[in-house]
Amino acid sequence: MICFENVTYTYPFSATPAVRDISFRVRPGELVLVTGRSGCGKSTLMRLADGLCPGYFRGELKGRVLVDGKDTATLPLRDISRQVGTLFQDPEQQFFALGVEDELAFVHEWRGQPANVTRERVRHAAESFGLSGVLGHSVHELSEGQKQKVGLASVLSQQPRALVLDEPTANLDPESTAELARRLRTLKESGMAVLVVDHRLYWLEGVADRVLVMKNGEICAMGGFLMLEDEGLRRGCGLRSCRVEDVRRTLPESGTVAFRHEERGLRVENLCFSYKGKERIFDHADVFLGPGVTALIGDNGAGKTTLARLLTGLNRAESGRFFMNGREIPDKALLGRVAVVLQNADHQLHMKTVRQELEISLQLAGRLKRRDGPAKSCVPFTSGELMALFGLSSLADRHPQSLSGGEKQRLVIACAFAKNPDVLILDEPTSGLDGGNMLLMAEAVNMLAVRGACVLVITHDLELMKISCSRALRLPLRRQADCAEGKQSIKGERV
Amino acid sequence: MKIVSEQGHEASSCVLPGRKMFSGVNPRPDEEHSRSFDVRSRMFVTLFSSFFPIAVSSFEGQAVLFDASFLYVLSLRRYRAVAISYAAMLGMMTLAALFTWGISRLVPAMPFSFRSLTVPYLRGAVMLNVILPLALTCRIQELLTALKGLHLPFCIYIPGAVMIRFIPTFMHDIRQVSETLRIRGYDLGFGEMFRHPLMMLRLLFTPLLFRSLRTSEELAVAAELKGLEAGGRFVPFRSPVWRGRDTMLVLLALAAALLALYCQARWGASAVPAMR
Repeated sequence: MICFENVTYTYPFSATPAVRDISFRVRPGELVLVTGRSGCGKSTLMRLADGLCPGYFRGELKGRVLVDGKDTATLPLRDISRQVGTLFQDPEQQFFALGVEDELAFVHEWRGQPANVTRERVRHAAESFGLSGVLGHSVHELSEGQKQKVGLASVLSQQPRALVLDEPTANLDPESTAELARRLRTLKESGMAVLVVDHRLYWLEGVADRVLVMKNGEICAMGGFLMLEDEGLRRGCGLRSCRVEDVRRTLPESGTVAFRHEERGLRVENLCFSYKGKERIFDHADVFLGPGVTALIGDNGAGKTTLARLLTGLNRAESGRFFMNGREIPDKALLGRVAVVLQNADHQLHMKTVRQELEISLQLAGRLKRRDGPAKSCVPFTSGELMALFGLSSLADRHPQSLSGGEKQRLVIACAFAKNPDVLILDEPTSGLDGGNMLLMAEAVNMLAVRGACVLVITHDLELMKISCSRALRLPLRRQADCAEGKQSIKGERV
Repeated sequence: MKIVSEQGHEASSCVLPGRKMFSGVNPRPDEEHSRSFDVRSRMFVTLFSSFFPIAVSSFEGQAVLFDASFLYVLSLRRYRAVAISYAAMLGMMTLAALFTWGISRLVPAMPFSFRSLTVPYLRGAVMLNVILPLALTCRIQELLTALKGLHLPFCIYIPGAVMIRFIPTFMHDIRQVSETLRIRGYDLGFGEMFRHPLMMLRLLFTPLLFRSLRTSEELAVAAELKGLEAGGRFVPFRSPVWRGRDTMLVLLALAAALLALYCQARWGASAVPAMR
């Protein structure tokens, strides 16, 4: 169905090819997994398969990419897209409409399907992916996992003959990931050719028929899934583990520790919050974040990012009391003590170079410290240390906006470290990172925890959880009354 | 133990961080007012308000148009979105005023006065007032259907629809950028803006510029993959319905235009010549 024949492709204005001499085939009813270090050419391979290279991005193509026996270089993109459905890593990238229902309907409307056929396909797609409850919402309102489902539902509703998925599990919880694996197996059995590009490997065990490992734009290994058990190959190509232990149930619970004056960390009591006109997401809930690394676990759309925003004061709680290191602080002061890195690296980079970005972050941290008083006694970082810690030293003079997605992610987290915060909240810090960078991130987070910080990691990444997290905060949260027994005795002792 | 959130992980209605403000879809009660108008009536008001203010050169006439269009945008009840848009427009107007002042210093034959800028600025504000209801509440499909119905060429109606589609995304980006500045600890007060204007411009506009470039590319890729093409057959699954209230909206727009012309004829003579 998809066939690469000695393909070498070079982007415009680039001196070196992004991929070199690639030959492989994805037959109907087969799933091929492509993996490798960030920047090894996986995404280019995907763009070649769906015709975006060279159809949209131009550039120079040598060799042939065939879809259903036809050379993509001679086909218009609209014809290729009828055969090959594509799901991007950032699903928002492929949304044209702003509403969920509209997005599901859009392609059918544009292909001139009768209204009743479009309606039926939208209904079926929404039911298959459990999206019926959010059909009327804006795509901007959805969690990342929900967006991914909308993207996939939209692609599959077009009934393509081949599917190309770019890191489809980057923002999915493990249950949704397992469900996606089941769905792909069914699609494969129905004769669909599937090409998956991903750093996470474990979920495709028993589903992938072949694995291609790429390095510097070339295929360096090809074989069955068992090939990934070779640790030398994994280390050499920056791959993640092929089997992962699910530690979500075994991590001890955070947030049930009784109040103490001398405690370190962030405590929230009686937290209530709901979005306007919606049901309460947090109803008299209690949260405690102690020193160390805590994983925030919950299903897609359970309110993890909302909790992060409440803990930083970006959203105002309807009610609730916040205590930092045993002292009550107003929610307005939270932002000075808590650093948060959300999943929007593009919006956070302003300066001309990576070094300047870090240096201004350090200056801002110094200003905050003068305003709010020193939070901790430990020595602040320097820009050089931060660059070394996050593997950015070689990029010191690059423009931050010219970095790759993974490099930007590391830079914005480094900027948050510059604040030397009491509490650091990271929202999916390792989504889209290869094995090597994931380990780098885990080491950095552990190092901050050793310095006494409380780190809350919102993540579905089981590998990161296993390596870094010592306890878990699980959503939905408990109601205050449910864990009040121990607390009644200490009410009078509050600061 | 009681469970607080009852949201299932799939059909969850839990929405993300204050993004409602920029949503472009239907189910909110405060959007009902605007959504109750057909896209064609809203488009008529927008197009009419794009051309008609050119004919009105007096402050009095423009003031009438501004008042009427301001009431129209307020009927959205999206006050924060309106406030953000006005803040952005104010920034651009200040920049324009500074340049005009600079030119007047270099070319004395072109004197600078704030009053001379009032009419062009009001024209800009009227445009903003009529575009916001269109951009924040209409579905891209409705817009494409309506634009196609006008038998405009593909190269006009696709960019037109994309521009309207882009506005909520752009506003969403503005909000995210200002929020990340707060997170990083930047002081966004007026004092800081006057002390370090270039730095503030860099902080606000660098990420916006790059985001806009990325968004435009993403939209282009999305359009290509969805097979948008010249001559394609577009069949909406929801048909637009012209109601009595749409006729009323069009009539009110025409009435505001007539009133503006009357005010210009009645009091416009007192306007400062430079304002014309």
